[in-house]
Amino acid sequence: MLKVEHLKKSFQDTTVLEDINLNVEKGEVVAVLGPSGSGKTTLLRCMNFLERADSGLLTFDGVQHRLERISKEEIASIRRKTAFVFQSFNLFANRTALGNVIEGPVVTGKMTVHEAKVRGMQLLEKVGLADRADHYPAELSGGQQQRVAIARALATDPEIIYFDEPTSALDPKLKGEVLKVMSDLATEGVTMMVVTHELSFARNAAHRIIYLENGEILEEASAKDFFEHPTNPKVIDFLAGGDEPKELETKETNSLN
Amino acid sequence: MSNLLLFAAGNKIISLLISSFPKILLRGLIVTIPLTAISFGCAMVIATFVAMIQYAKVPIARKICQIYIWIFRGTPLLIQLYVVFFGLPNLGIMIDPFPCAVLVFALNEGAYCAETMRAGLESVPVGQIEAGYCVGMSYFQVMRRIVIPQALKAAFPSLSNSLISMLKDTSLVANITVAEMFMTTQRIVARTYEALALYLELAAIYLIFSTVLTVLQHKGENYLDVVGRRKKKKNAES
Repeated sequence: MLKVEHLKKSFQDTTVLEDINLNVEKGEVVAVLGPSGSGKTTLLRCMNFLERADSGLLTFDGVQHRLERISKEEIASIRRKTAFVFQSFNLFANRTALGNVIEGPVVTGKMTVHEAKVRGMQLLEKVGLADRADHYPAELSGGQQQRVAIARALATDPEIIYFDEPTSALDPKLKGEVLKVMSDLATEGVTMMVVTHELSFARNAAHRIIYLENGEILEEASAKDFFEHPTNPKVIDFLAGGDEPKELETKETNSLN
Repeated sequence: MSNLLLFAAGNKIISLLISSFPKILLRGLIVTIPLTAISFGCAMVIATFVAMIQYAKVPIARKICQIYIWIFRGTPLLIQLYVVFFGLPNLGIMIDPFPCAVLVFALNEGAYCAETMRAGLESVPVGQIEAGYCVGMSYFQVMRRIVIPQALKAAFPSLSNSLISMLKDTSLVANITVAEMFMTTQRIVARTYEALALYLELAAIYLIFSTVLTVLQHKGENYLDVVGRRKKKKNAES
């Protein structure tokens, strides 16, 4: 359903992504793992043109696009069929929770305001926030905001949802409620590409893992193989380091010794 | 005897103040207020366009906007009025006093408010704009539905400030023969020589007008919930 070939991206002189090839099948949950600064987020942002890749091919929904000269219309048509969940939630501050959810279907003309509200309430129900429908983002906790953001992402019935470190800005207690919603979506067959540091989520909810380091895909395997039989020494290192913060700590201690 | 004279003089001033009050107030209602309202309305339109051009970094238009702001913020309002009203006729361009005043005020105020609006636009986090694109909005939808409402809310207190300033600045148009409150008062002073009492009366009338605007500003801020008071209150209740 989504296929990326030879994607390249650099900022000024620094190459961030080097010849990325990947594909995501319909109904599949792909987790993108890797240390900080490996280009995971940039890769995800290139999928939705929040960053523009320098070159490469993107096949989405059966249509092939050349990334170096993609038109505004092509970008708009791809964005209408995808959704994005941000690390920092990015809810519209001037809209209530329900207002945020209905915005997409209403502006794209997919639904009337009334239809969108009915659907919006169902989605808020799904993420457990129906009672917060008329609250503004400033009145919600981080975990609640992120769940509203997920409901907003679902509202346009996207072919795929991109998650950019959706729990990184949350404390452990709030992480759980967001990961629960995401796991539910995974079991329901929603196509997802998730950049994350949550290894247990990746292990339990993802079908396939892509491991990125220094802008290159070093390993691509089923979740089971990735965690149980890693072959690449860097992946073994990464998994041994556990969560990223721990890995950073080890690095710091090493440099001190 | 001298007490009686003073009393008579006081009486005369009071009756003068009472008789002049409706005359001055009337000029305020039919000249100062419409002039302020129309000019500020036009200034808002100019400011919004100029701010959006700068915000969107439109190549050449942006430079033109910067030059416009530079000129109108950098020269005195009174001189701008003189250039347009007394100067332009030398080029064969004659504009009636009232439209001339509207033109100059709109351009002058537009330059100031454009900067206020730009600051408001830039206060909206980029993440919300990206989120707008991701739910399928076009650039203009993002601006209209997400950025501008929040920018206006952020800019509202400063814009109200500009409006009150402008109301008072309209007294300058007496210089280009617009018969507003100041000119009317000047004429009464010329006839009666009661400068102190009459100019204090005029000041009081301006104070009444700006008080009304201040009250409206607070009402507006509450309505827009500029400081987020309502949210806090709601939270406290729940």
